[in-house]
Amino acid sequence: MSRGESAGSMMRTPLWRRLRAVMLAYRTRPLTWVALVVYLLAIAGVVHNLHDPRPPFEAMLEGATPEARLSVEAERVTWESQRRLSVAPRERTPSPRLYFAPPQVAQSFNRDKKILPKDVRTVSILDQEYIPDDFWQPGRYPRVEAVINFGPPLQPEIIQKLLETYPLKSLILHRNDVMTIDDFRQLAQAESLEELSLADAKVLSDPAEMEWPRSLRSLTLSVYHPLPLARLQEWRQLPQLKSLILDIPADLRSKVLTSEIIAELDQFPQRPTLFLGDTREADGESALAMQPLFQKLAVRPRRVPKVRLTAAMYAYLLLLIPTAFGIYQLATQSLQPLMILAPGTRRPHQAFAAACWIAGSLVAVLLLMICGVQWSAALALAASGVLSYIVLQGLMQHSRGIEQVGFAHPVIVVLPLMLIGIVFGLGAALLHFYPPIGGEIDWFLRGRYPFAAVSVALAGPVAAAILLRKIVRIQRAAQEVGVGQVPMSALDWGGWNTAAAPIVARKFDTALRVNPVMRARERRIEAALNHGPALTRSQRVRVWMCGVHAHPLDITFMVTLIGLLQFVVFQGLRNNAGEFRLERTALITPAIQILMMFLMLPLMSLWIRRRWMPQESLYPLSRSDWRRDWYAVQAYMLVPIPVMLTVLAMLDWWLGGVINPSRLEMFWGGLAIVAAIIATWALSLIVVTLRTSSLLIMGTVVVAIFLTVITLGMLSRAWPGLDDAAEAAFKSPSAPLVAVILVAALLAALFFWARQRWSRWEVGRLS
Amino acid sequence: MTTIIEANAVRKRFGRNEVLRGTTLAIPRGAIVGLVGTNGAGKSTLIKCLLGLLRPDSGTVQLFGEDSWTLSAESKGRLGYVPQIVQLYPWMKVDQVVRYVAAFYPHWDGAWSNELLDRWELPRDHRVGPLSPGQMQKLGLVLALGHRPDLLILDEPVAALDPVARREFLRAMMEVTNDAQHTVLFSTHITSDLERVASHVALLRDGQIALFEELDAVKDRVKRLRIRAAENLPANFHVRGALRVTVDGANALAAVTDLDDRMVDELSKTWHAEVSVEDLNLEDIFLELHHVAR
Repeated sequence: MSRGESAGSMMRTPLWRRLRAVMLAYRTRPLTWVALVVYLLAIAGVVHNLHDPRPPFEAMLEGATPEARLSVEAERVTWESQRRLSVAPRERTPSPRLYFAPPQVAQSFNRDKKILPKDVRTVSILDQEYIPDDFWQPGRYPRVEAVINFGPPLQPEIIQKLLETYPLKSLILHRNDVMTIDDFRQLAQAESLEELSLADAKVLSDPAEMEWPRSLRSLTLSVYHPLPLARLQEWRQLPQLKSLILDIPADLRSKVLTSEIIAELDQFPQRPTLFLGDTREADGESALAMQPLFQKLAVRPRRVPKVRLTAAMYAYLLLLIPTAFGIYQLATQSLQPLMILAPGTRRPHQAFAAACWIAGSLVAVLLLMICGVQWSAALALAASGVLSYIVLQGLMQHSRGIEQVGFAHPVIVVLPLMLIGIVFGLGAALLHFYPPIGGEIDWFLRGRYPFAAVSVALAGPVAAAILLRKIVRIQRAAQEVGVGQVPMSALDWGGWNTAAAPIVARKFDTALRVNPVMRARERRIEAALNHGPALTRSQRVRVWMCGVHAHPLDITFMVTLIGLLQFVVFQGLRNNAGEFRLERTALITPAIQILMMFLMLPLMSLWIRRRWMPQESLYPLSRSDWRRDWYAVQAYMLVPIPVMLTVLAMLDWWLGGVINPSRLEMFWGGLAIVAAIIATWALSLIVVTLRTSSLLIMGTVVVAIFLTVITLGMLSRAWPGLDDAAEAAFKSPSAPLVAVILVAALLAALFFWARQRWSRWEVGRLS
Repeated sequence: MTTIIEANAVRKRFGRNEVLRGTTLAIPRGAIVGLVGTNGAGKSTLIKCLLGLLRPDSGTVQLFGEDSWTLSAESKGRLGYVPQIVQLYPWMKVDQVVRYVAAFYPHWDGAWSNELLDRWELPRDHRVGPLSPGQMQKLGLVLALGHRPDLLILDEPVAALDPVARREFLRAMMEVTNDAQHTVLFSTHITSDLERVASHVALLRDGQIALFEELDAVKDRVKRLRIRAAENLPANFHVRGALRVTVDGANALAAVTDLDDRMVDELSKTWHAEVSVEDLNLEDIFLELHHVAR
């Protein structure tokens, strides 16, 4: 030990005393308890949501009466569809869809939608007897590209007419056991057919030569008999075949997939992914067991349990609370002069932060392992999650400090470690758009990439420790340039160009300053301020809007940009996968984004503006005028919602009604939007007028959300018929009237409340 | 004389902490009042109650003869306020912020605000976000003075200013208020500034106004006696009307109010002592008055 170290250690109290002092400081801090309560509630909510064991369907089926069997089968199908994710590429069944069935059944399926023949893209046949005559008129249904048969086997002449009348891309025949080789010969003439799904096709076992459409990309078959090699030779000739989906009961696989068949499949030049399905199997384990038999082909289960995927997402998100809390505390303490002046202060704070992360990681790993995730994958996910949150929060620190310490470069190095967490943690969110990724995520979670998982699990903590040290140094550097507080104001766009702003914000701000949005904003401010005294309410609203940190037009621009980006991404995915449904998501997703962003806008704006409000309340306006001005400003910020939704509706109309909601859906959708606007407006008032501390408000909101979710979950669990009852209530004829009355009553109550609240509201508490 | 600010038995409580305990204050037109008090005495709370930013739990507050909670637009147009920490839109430029605030005041004096901007060397084309705290304070003052308010209320306005800027601020304040028609209430800890400009001083102690007088009267009234006796003075040595007495052997110091010659003669004869009378500056008076509170 050097003299310096010796002297240094003599100047310090024992580590345990310092640790005890630091723990006391955290224990007496209300934020600690709020974070802990939120975290525990979040864990409870996640555990509650994930706990959903599979009922013993097979045991229930044994010895059951025929009626009971039907009921159990129906329950199993429902359970499977809700709890299992089909990771094979989807059948191409674009909307709008029209059902051909007996009138009552068709009405039930089509609901009260009025689908024009010219818009129909998918036809579902429940009974071929009810195919209308005009369906065979060329040009009557110009956009039909997918046909699904749920009913009795289609007669060969019907299939022939279908193929002659329509350039089908997708043909899904659930019951086609009467198809002959001649029928297949007709099928092979379909030049545009990309997807073919056949169930129970006995003819497949015929060794005679069959013909297949050359354009096929995806082939789905139910196979119960040994496949002749001839079939494989025929499929081998399909140049674009990317997915081969075989539903084979697990106990028949060895008979169907003989070693010759496997060897033949493995030599397919197109290298299609082989998806093996079996509804009786819980998690596709036997399909995974087939993988070692193949050298070149990737084998995946056709369906994977959703629980692992959602557990990964929840575990990843759950990690945010302890990680963010630990690092925020560390960053805050590192800025205090005490951390620099008092000897040995840093280490106990670092130890506390590390303890938070370790505890959080252990919880996440435990949760994942309970849900069937393999230990190495669970550790990798936890390590990657903690690391990515550390990086994220590190980048939110002071830019001057980051530049001095050189935080950004190590981040680039550890990027691959973070990506695993981000992709696999948030992958569940992508499933809606691109289900095949679910198979890859599940593959990883089952521990099929042990080397990668263990590498991340080992390298992640090392990288985290290095970055942790750097974060302390960033704070020290920031303090040297006079920054006195941790900027946790990512929403404080106005402060993005300051030295204390996060580096990401500064870069973004620099980019924005040269873009048309910022220039347009400058022009708007100038136009409003050059007008002279703002005497009328409309003039005042224009001036007030200068103080809105994110103008609705800016948001509109951003939304458009994001929409375009999504479109490009969708197109990319579509070209790669080709099987997922672009049309609805392409419109619905931006619509939801627009709604959420604009709904949040008044709230965010008010929240940020609260600091200036005491001064602004003293401008020469009466209290009531000031209140009305604020209502007008809030309303002004919500105007783009109906405008953008109208634009989207027109776009939908122009594209031929791809969303095509029923009148009832439109009514409920509209009502939901109105209710959401009212709720947001009320929330913004509550947030601002209730004042108290930001922490309390945020904590309340988070707790309220979790409590709502948990309560709803428990209610639906305790009362299984709740969903049905709710649906029945929604569909009852008097529901719209009741809903309108309820919303109106809510609106009146809120107005009354707000009026009362504003008259007693102490603006001075905001400062 | 017209009363501009009138607070009567104002009480304000935050949870268990009662900050104002029946505060009563009446400020006449033309007065420049320095509000002093220790940290946490309730100066900012009182100012916010006077402005109608906080609502008193009991008692009444009037500005220009109106209830400050429901102050009319006209009265607000005659009011200028600078908070302890000036908050302004960081994305706007200095010039834009001035025009933004000016838009709400029909009688904004643009030439005057421009002059103040020049005098305090505030860069008009700079954004507000990166300004230093001192510059922000100056800008806050420009915004409060731009419409030449009849009543100016400032909550520690010069705390962040350098000495030069402080002098400039005081000069500007005097310019605005030199016609005896304008009223100023400002809280501060810098008693030298207060001595320079204030006509009155208000001392807030324990949530009440312990003292509200003209500054000169206060200075005349509170004096320090330096006593050198022939023999050691007793530990319970007492001076009539003393705020505080310190005894050290035969020497004693006593801060007294309402001193007269008879008291000096009496002390001199009783204790065979030399008694000299010294003037106190405002800071000393402030300290002595607070010592009494303890």
